[in-house]
Amino acid sequence: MIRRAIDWADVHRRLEQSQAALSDTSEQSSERVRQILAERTRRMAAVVVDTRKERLALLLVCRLGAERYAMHLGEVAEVAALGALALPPRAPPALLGAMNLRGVVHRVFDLGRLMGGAGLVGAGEPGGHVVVLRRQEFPTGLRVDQAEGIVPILADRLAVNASAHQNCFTKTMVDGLLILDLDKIKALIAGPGK
Amino acid sequence: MRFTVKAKLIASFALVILLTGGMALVAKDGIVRLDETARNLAGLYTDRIVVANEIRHALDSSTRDEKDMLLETDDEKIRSRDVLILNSRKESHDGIKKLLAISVDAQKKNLDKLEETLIRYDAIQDRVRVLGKSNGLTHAMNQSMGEGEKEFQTIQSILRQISERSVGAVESAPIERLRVAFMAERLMHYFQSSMKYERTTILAPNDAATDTAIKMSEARQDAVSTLLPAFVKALSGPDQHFADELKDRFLHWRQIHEEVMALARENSNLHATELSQGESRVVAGELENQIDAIIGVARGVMADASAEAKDLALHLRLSLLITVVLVMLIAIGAAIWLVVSITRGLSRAVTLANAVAVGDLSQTIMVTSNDEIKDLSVALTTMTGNLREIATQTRSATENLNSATAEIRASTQQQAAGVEEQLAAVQETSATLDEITQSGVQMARRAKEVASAAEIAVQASHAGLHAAEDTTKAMDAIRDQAESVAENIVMLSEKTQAIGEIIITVNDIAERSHLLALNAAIEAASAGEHGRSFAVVAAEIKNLADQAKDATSQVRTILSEIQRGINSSVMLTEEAVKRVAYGKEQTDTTQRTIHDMSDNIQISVQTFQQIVAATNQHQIGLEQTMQALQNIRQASKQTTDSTRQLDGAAANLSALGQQLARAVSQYRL
Repeated sequence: MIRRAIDWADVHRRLEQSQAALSDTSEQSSERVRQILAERTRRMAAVVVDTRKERLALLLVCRLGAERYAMHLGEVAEVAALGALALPPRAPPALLGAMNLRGVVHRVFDLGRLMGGAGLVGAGEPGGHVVVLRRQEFPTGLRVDQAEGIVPILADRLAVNASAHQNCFTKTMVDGLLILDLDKIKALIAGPGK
Repeated sequence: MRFTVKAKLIASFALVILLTGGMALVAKDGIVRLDETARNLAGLYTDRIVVANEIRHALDSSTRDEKDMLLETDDEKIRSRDVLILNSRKESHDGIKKLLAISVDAQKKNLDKLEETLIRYDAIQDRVRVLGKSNGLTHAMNQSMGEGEKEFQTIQSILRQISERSVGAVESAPIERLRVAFMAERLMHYFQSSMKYERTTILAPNDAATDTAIKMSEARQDAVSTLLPAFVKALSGPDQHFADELKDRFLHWRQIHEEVMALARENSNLHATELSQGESRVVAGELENQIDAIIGVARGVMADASAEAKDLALHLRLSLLITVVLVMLIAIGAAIWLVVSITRGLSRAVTLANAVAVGDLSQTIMVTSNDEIKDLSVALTTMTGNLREIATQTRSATENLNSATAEIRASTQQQAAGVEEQLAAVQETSATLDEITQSGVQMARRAKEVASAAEIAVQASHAGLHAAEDTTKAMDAIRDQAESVAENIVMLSEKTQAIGEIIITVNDIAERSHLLALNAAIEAASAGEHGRSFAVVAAEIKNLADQAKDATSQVRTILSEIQRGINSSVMLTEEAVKRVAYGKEQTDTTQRTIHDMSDNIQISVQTFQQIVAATNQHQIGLEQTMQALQNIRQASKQTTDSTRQLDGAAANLSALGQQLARAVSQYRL
């Protein structure tokens, strides 16, 4: 096979272009920051307008395997990365262990195992996040694959879809999100925990 | 016993030399004795007389200086004369010591006596020197004429004044004044008398006169000593003041007078003169006589030595004359004996030589001596016998020569015919060689062409070898650069790995930022209306964190592509290096092949060069062969000519043989 000869001039030109692009990226970082700040300002102004007109419910979206769950933000104390766990003897299968979070020992339960694994394809990735719940007798966290973010949902929509998608652990489903019934989960936690 | 002429000559000359040497020894012994005598005469004996005369001269000088010292009045001159006396005395003693060193024992007794007398003379002279150096009369004269005279004149003046004043008043002066004047006149008289006898004492010619003058002077001194106190006491009036002065001056004058008289009484000059003229002169006379005796003895010894030298010279002259005559007689005898023994044998040899000169070879000689003359006679006899035999052989050889000459002429004619045939064969050979030479020239030219072509091939192979070497170097350079590229690519891969690690860090930061944003949103939500703005910020942070995670994901994807590209580049580079190595092996093989080919061509070139050289050598050989054939042809022609000449020479030789036969027939055998 006869290979085409290298056009060294073209090679040098492409290298120079790459170098120039890299330099432009470095130089435009301050401009990029300014644009981000402007966009943030704009969004903040928009949110203020929206919150004054409508009533929104804030939900924490978590991914567990291929499915995405949401829970009321008012039930969540914080989200943390899953750290080192100490597994006590004779612990229930759903209890992953105890985790030290800023000096406070938290119980960490696997959300997938608590829910019996139904419909959790691909759950159990290494790492993951811990969603710390509010108002628990013992500090408690639920391990999820990823806490993706917070989404505002109109409260009216949550009430409309409640009857159609209610099962053991979920209340309803909005825009593809399964809204968890944290009361049932807490009751479940209270059982094994005791 | 053999006694050769050389031995005779050596014996004769040795005898003459021995006799001459003996004569020279006799003469040498006599000359040595004569020389010793002459040396004694010229040196030792003469030295004795000279030294004795030097002693005499020193004594004369000493005596003269002694007299001069006595004649001097100045003390300084007297001391200088005294020094000269001592110097002369030292010379005298040194002379005696010197003479003692060179004198014989008999003479030494006289010298001891002379030294004893000289010591005695020195003692007398020492007394003369002491008296002379005191110079008493001169000192006495000076005292008397100097200070004594002055004091005397003063006293006389005072006394005269007193006397004149007393005499001027004689008519009215009392008797005391007259008595004073009278006493002054008497004192003046006594003083003058004292001065007169003082001078007389000084000028007295002998001790008796001295004693008389001294007694007269002392009498006057006693008179003055008695009269002066009375005179002083008698002074009165204006003369009273002279009393003390007179007493003082008188005492002073008297002191001077006594010193003068003491010197005059000693009379050293007179005593010294008497001693010098008396005892010293006697001893000096003895010394003079002793020195004359010593000189006389020396002269006698010298005269004896001179007579002995004369006798010795006469004896030596006679001995030499006898020896010379004896040596001359012996030499003449030896010469006559030599001449007779040599000329007798030589005359016989001359007779034999004259007989041989006229062709008479039948003569012989007899010599009785056993020397070179006998050797010459024997040699001449042998020579005559040999000549006789040669003449006999010559006669028979001449006959043989005539027959051989006839045979030579016959063979010469045969040789001439053979040479003609040889000449024709040489011409045919020359033509053949000429053709061979032409073909050799063509062969050499072709060989040169082939060698030139091979030389060009060698140069081309060298160029190919250089090109292969350059290719090898280029391949090595390519390999080095490809390896450098591979290293750079690996380094880039390591950089991408570092970037990957950075991306991990950034991703981790994005993850943390994501969680932080979530927690912030949770806190904002719990804060209610007050946390609404904070919720917006938290949402923005979350968006940024998500965008960062996306970006890192994209970068990771790109890095994976880059890594794949790098791996591909490394593999391609490795393949390139392998191909370069393969190319280098091929180039090395090519280089070796070209090198071997170049060596083979070089060998071929050398072979062709050797062929060309051999062809040239062959050509040269052919040319030399041609030249040799030319020479052979020339030589054949010359041989033909020579054969003709040889035939003529053989004819001449035959004639000569006949002449020789006639000449040999003249010898008497």
